[in-house]
Amino acid sequence: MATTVKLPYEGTEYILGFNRETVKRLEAEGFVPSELVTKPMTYLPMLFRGAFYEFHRKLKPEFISEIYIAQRDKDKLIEVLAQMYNEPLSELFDEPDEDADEGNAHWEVSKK
Amino acid sequence: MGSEQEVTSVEITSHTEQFEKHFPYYLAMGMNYDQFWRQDVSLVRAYRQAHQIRKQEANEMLWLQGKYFYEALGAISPVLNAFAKQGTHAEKYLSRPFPITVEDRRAEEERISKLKREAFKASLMAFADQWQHNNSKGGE
Repeated sequence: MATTVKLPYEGTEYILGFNRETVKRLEAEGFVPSELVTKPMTYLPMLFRGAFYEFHRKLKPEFISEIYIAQRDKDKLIEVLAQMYNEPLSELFDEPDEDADEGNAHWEVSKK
Repeated sequence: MGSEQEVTSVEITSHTEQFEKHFPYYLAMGMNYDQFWRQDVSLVRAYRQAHQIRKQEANEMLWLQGKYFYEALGAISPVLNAFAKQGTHAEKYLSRPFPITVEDRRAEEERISKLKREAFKASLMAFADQWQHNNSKGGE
């Protein structure tokens, strides 16, 4: 089962996730995973935005940015999103990492 | 400094490139476009496992086919011998397929056991007939 994150914001629960199509779309928009560390201000919000493409493709980028800014514990969230981003690729090669099921009070990892 | 330059660079390809590269293999395994690109990313694992099962089944079928071929060749081999005596005939081919399922094997064992019982019964009957015949001769 693919990992997802349930993220409540202003009374609505958003589901964050990736499939191969949304990863492809994100990369077509210029996302480069290897530059997450060197250019975090550019690529972290981009990764966060891409996580909405699978289940909430009609959300406006400005609104997603608003959700991103409102997030606490961003480091942990981004870490999980990065793992989720890699999942469509890693599933092609090996067994999934079952240790990625951790969450906190504001968002929750689940299997869809 | 020189050693740093000698370090072999590792080509980092994008996820998209890897997806595009693997997509045809999964199509060959029976996945469709939607399943590969849009559905649960872990679906590929089940397809790989199913592919392994199919390969194993195909291998077993080929092995079985070889076994039937071996039996057929064995049955016909007497007449393939150039120095065979005149009137040599090919042996009969198997009257039924090899039992491959548990139920088939049980049924086959039961069938053989029944044949043995009937053969034993027939030999007893023959013995009894012979005994009776001999005794009746002695009695005359």
